[in-house]
Amino acid sequence: MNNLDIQYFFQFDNNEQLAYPLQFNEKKMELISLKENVLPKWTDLEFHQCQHCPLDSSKIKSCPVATNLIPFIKLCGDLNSYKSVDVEVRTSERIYSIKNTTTQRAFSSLLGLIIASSPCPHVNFFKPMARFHIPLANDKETLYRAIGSYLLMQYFKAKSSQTIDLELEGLKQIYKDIQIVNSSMAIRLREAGRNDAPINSIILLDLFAKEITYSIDEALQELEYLYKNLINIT
Amino acid sequence: MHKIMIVDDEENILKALKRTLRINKNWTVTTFNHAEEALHCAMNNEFDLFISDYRMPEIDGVDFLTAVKKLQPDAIRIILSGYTELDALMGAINHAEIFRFITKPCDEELLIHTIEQALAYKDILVENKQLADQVRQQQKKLEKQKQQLNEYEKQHPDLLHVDWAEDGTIILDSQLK
Repeated sequence: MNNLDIQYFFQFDNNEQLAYPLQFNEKKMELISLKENVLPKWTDLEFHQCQHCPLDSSKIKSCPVATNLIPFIKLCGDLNSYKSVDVEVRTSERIYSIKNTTTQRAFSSLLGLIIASSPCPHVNFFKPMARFHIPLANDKETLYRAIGSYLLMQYFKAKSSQTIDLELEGLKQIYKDIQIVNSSMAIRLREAGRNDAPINSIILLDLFAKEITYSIDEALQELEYLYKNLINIT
Repeated sequence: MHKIMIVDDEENILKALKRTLRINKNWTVTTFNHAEEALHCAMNNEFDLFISDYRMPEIDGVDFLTAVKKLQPDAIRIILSGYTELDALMGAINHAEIFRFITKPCDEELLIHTIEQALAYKDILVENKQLADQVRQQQKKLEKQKQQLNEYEKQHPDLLHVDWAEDGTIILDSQLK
């Protein structure tokens, strides 16, 4: 089995350093996580279960996303969200270095990667994007990647003679669905965290989801100039 | 037109909130990601509603809204925060006298509805104040007129006194009875 490694390193103003290594099953793009002996209550599937959750609580006791967040809470549960931090993210291809950002932004990026690589049916769309993770991507970069990935999905659907969606309605629905996941995770993180960094991280993540559902058409207009010379636009 | 100020140290949140509130053309939204700059603006500009994050560097949302309450006591105050510690809530209610404490991430419809309620409440408070002022002024006027009437009566007791006869007619000269 091929595994993919990504490591997040955080250095704070007071020289405190934190490391968060992640390993993924590259084929399924799912996070390989250590099994915890005792799972906290906030990870129970039925604890603020997402209203659109298709999982059967009689068969699955724990929320797969929440379970993957246990080490995340252990790492940043006590941090405050506006603390300044330098972040280094190492992948097999390259090292990303982001200086002087806030804890909430840094952890938001990490949180997005953890959620995307969880075995939850509502996050499957994000797995290809997780495979080509860009740490601390801004809203325009995220939008570009999401739309690009969605259209690539349509290409593969067309190849297997399935109905395709070039109006991006399906993408809007995906992001509406992920907002429900984010809301549930926010409640769980609020229950689990001692300080506000975890909560504010998911809030930031949720902003991207809202941005896409709210203003995808506006955002597309902002990207149109990049393609002007490639196509005939009158 | 209602003027709304939003303060949050995270630029993306301000952008998202501004975009959400664009839905109502009667709202002018001003945003700040530094509470001190926001306070400086509040010293010179009147707002109907202040919305603040709770956890911010340098000055937290409760302190900011408490300061704003002194500057503009008629404005409504809302805290929008991911943090829900009891101490924070108590401070917000007791010191900043907030209208609502909304948790993040918040439902956009709920936020808009809360703002509509807050501004409607503000309009009622302003109207009540105006009506109360009006009543006070009228009362003052009436008091003055009453005073003038009393003075006049002292000086000219007969002018204001009316003699009625049994048949309902007015007796102009009682000596002619």
